[in-house]
Amino acid sequence: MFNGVDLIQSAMGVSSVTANVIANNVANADTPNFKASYVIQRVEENPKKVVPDIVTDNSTSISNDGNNVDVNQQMALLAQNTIRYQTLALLASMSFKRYADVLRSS
Amino acid sequence: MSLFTAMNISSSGMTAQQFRVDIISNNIANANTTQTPEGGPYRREIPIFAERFKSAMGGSSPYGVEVVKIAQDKAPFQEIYDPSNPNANKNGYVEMPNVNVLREMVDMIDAQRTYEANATVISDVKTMASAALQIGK
Repeated sequence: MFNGVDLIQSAMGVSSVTANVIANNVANADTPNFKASYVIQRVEENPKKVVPDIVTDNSTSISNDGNNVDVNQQMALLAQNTIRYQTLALLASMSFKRYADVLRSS
Repeated sequence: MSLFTAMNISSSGMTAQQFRVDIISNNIANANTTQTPEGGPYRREIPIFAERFKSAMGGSSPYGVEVVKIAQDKAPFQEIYDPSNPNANKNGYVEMPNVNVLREMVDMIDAQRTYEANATVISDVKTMASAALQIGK
């Protein structure tokens, strides 16, 4: 019954994993040889949902100590992720409101 | 809850940067210290950071940052000519700490910016959590 909401819920899960990964990247911005991780979203069928894949970028270095966290980039990703999460929360809220409207009209 | 993990991770980052500023201020305070309990002038200290992990359900997941040790800078001491100084050697040279105040200031700005970035993450995650609480209202 709540199919659409389940999908939104899984997307919010991906968003919250992304927040954790960004938090860990920023916390380790000064850790020698630390490599930044990123979240890639993957679709799964039956039931349809999105799941997070965490990948580590081992190929680059932006400082002498082998660290490759670009704090500016992480801040941009974080801002995007927060807006995304808020949008999904709003969508979930609207879906529930639709059910409430139907229940009231009967 | 998952979003609280992000807050804990960022707070570990803030604690680490705060500690780094403590070390930097100690370096600056001792920029002219020529006597230490170990003998010789003060050696510049450097905090060493490492990624922290939390083990849960058979695996381990990243859980922020921790300070693993305070290392000492192995750079040679600066020698200045000052024969009247009680710590001068027989040629009149005094060994001064290997602290470069300019570099400490740059490190301090870096620590401050990273601290701010961690604080921003906490504030954004808080926004996310309150958005989730609005569902169904």
